[in-house]
Amino acid sequence: MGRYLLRRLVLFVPVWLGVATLVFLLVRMSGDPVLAMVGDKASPERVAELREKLGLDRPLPAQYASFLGELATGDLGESYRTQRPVLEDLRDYFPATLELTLLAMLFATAGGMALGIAAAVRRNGWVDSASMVTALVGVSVPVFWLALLALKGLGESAGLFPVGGRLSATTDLRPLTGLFTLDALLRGDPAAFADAFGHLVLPACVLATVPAAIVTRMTRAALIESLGKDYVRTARAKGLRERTVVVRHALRNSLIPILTVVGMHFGLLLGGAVLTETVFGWPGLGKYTVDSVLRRDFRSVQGALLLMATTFVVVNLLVDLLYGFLDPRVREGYEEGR
Amino acid sequence: MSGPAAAAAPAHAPSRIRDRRLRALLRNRAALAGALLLLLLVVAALGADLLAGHDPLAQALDRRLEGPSAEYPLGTDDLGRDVLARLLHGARYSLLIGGISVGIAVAVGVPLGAVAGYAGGRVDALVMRVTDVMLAFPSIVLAIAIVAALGASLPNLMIAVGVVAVPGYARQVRASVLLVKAEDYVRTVMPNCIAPLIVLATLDYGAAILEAAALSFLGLGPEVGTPEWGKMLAEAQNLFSLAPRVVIAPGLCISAAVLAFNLMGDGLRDALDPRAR
Repeated sequence: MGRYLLRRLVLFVPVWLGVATLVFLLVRMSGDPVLAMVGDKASPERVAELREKLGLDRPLPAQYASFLGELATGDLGESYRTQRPVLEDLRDYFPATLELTLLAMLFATAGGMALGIAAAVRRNGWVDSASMVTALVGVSVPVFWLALLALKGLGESAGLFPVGGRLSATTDLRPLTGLFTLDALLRGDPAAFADAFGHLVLPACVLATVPAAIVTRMTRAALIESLGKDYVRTARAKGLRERTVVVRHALRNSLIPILTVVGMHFGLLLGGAVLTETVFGWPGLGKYTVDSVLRRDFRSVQGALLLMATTFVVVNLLVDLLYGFLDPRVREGYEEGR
Repeated sequence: MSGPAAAAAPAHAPSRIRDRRLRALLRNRAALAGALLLLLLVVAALGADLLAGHDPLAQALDRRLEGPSAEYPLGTDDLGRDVLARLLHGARYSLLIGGISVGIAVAVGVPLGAVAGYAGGRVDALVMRVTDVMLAFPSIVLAIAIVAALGASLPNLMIAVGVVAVPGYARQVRASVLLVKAEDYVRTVMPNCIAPLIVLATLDYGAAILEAAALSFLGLGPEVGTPEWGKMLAEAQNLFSLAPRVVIAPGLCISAAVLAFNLMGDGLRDALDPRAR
């Protein structure tokens, strides 16, 4: 296990360096950020001055060297849009995305597994057909459209959910972790919890649709496979209740592929969060990225992309490690194969 | 995903065969539905001018946000433009955007994967590390960054959506090439290389439409007023309480288009890919 872990960690380094390089190049390609900052009407002297101040007048290799140097010291520069260090911005925005994606993942896992189990147990029945159709449609629907319908229909028109941001203006909550629902609990403030959760639940449900559809299909497939195995036949032959057979024997052995799929689709959640956050005005990393891109705020684009990719890679790494931990065949195969 | 499911149930032989036939039929029905949906889209795209009766760009400011009527079967938008005409022309945009994006991805990804697979060694390692780096981003995020780098426009949007899909093709083709190399049978090129590629491209066509609509929705695609579904949604979002149909309709169209390719892709996988059975 130790060697497996080490190998995976060693592979992580060049990928991350590649990510940093790609981000650097993409951001440098996007035209002159100085013009976006000062506007067309600024004098050439002002533009030149700012360009020099930001180090954009230097040759690309020199810029790249100082970019890597700054990264090594954890310095991401300052956003011209928010007038704050990008790192501080990210520290504020990231927990919002984390809270949203975690709850969405919970919804997707719970909902998808329930639907998948129902489908597998009554195979080819109407529950099965309905859940398979739902799952197929679920992966085809644009998440930003669902977000829009939920926001406008259930939020603004029907007034069932509070919309806009993470808390109502009247709620006063001093953040601890930045996960507002958790903070409200830690501070012992049930009203703030209700408010934070109310804001969270609609975007989280929207974000959960696509992964829920995928989890449904995976659960169904994995459970149907387990239900055909000998140990299930044995369990049935022992006269165990069907419920016990399904949950204790078949489902338990299907958990690894199901949880792997959940983990693997975190990227989908992160990508979906970009769109969901933008529609809901949720102040998370995704909205921050889009706003920064649209305003050509190159320092924040740089920081946001780096954090987005780092999160994605780290989560995938964790899923891989967890998978290797749960299923010895994986790490053994890995060690023998190389 | 149908792999483990179909491979299961080794017990009760007679009922299993009936079951498998039933499942195959069901699957074919899904693929058929996908094909019909796609046909509908193609007809809409090709016949947009004939079927619509109105210019999708023509504004009639005295007829804003009208409900459905004989003249405007789906009513008008906030600038008095015919919603049906715009949706029909949107099919043209989506099919073109999806096709060109997939074309770019195939044109770059297939040779890249083939070279990596045949050459092996350093070339292979380099190509694989590059795809690793690209796959380190959620695809929509990378697409946003690429459009931002190139500048927001329709051609750049298609380039971004295409480039983001390149690693998928490169890895697929590389894997197939390695397999063919090991087996020494030219015969196996067909099922091992082309078939998975067709399945991938079909599913990817839908993904490309979805991604392109998202970029366009964010304002990173075609210019204001273009009858493209994502753009229409973005421009109609504040009209929901006045005329929900102008918000609902473009989303339904995107869903239908993506669903068509997903259904076809799943059906093709079941039919072509021997491993998925």
